[in-house]
Amino acid sequence: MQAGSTGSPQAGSAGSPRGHGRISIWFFIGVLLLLYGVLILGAGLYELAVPPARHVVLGNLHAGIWWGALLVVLGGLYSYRFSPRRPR
Amino acid sequence: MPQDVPARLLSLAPVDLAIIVLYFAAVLGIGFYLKRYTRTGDDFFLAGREMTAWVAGLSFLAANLGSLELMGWAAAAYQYGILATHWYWIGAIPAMLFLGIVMMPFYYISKTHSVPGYLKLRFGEPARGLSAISFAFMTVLMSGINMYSMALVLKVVLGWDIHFSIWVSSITVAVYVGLGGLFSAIFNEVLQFVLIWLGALLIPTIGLIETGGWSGMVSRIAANFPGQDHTHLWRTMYHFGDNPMGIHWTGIVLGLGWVISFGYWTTDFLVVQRVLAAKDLRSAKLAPIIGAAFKMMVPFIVILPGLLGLALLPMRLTGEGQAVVTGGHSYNEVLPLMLARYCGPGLLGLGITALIAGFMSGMAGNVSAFATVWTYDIYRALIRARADDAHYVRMGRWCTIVGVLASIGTAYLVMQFLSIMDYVQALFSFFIAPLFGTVLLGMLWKRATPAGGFWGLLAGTVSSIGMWAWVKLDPAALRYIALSPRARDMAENMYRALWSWIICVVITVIVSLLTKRKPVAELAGLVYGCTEVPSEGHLSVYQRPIFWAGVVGAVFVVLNIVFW
Repeated sequence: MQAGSTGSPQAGSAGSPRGHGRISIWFFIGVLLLLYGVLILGAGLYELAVPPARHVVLGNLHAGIWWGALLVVLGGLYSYRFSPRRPR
Repeated sequence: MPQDVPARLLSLAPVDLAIIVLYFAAVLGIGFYLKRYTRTGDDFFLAGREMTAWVAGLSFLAANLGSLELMGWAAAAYQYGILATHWYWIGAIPAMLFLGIVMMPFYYISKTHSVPGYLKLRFGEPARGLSAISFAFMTVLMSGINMYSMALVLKVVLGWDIHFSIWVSSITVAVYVGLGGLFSAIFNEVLQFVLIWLGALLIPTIGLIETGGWSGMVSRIAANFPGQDHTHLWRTMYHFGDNPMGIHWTGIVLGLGWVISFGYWTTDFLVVQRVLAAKDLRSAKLAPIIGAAFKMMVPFIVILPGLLGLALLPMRLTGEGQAVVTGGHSYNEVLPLMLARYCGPGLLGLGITALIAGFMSGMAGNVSAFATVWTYDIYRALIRARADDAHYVRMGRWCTIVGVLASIGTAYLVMQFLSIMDYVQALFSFFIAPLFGTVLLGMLWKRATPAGGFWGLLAGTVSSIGMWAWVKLDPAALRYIALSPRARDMAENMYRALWSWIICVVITVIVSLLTKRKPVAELAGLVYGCTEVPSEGHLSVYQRPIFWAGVVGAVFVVLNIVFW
């Protein structure tokens, strides 16, 4: 288990000793962003294959694909960086 | 005609619903997880005082992002143009920096649990009682109004049942705050802060691509609204009649930038509580500065969508009343309309999640602050002074539930009496503006006495309510309160806040000079000149809060000049 449960995204600094053993909030955020990224990227790719009935302005930019990909990358990095299983 | 209006603005796909459901699961999961770490009063009410500057700073800002923050200020930007940015820049940044650098040492070193708690230490029980009761009343009312507004938004935008929205979102907040106290509220606020940004950022990004950048947007607005200036911050403020708010720059600088802003950001316990949870004084000083840096960027996701709406939407948005009559869209729908314009399945769910997260972070802020003030400053001070720590934690948990139920009750009250909504802004000038005068003098003037603090606070509050009632009974009085018969509600609120602050300060000074001063020994840790603030001499320049406050302050000045 990691120390410094409330550490900043930059430093991952330790909180007080009482924080030892608690999972970092940044890990929760990372996991949620990763899940969101997968869902949004998947929806974007599906739309690419099966064009939707409702068209959005600048739909040719396929915002769902690159925004979903961005969330996957961010979520993946945070999940790994603040994983409770990662040795410190 | 109204009957031709679709029942909802947007339709969600299964993937959007999955994103919303995941969000609710995450915030509840965090609450259940953190319950085991919330055992003592300090854990429940002050998150164990172990938050880093980043966590405390982001939570400090997220608690301010109520339900109407995204929708309401995007609507204000459509209505008033870039003038709405004043509420984010001059109406926030100087006050947040002042809190971090000047006031935080006194709050933190005094080890108070709350702002009314500081007043008890500085001015005694009467001042604490007055501010605690007014804060509890204001918090529940604000929370209920926000709850109703959000439920209404979800009804208009998604067609959701208003009762379903109120109960599901409120019970979720009650569960996670009741379980993990301020720990849970703060952790979820950081999560919500990230979601708000990621959900809302897409609209300005794609919008600016569509308009060809800022200059393209400005030319489109000028073409759509010839003869009106929507994109300059200060140059339309030299005369009351030159801008759609009907306000003079003195009202913005003195009313908003000084009294309302400093009152809210430095004495409203809803936000100050997050900073009190910091792990040390340096973190407590840095937290508002980090919050200020992000606050300065919020117009990008709130004001810019409103301006883009002015540039791009094919229809003219109107006030709520006119929209109902004509079957058109109201100002409040500008953000959902922009969401619908750019966001397909998945992204739409993320955008709606951002709106819900904004509501819940604001509500959790209200509820956790209410629980603390009720438990420490009303229940322990006036009802049961001697009980063990576990008793007060239990009271805090129950109080969270009671606070949520009271907010729900207020939401239903607002549903019956919609005119309550008109009084929200007035409420701030009733309580917050005089409180700022009392706290400021308490921290910076040794001579201020307990009697001075109490009577000044009471006089400021009563005079503010009195001025409001005077204008209600005789609208012609507006020329005296707001210095112009053409002043609108916002301008009236600002000037009333300014007068009530001045009255509070004058009465506090007069009564203090006529009453016996407190011994200096009793002011240690509470007042400038009697408090030893730990030196930061051993820190490098980049580690010092004052350095970062200077950086944020410099960016603030540059932004105002650029958009002058």
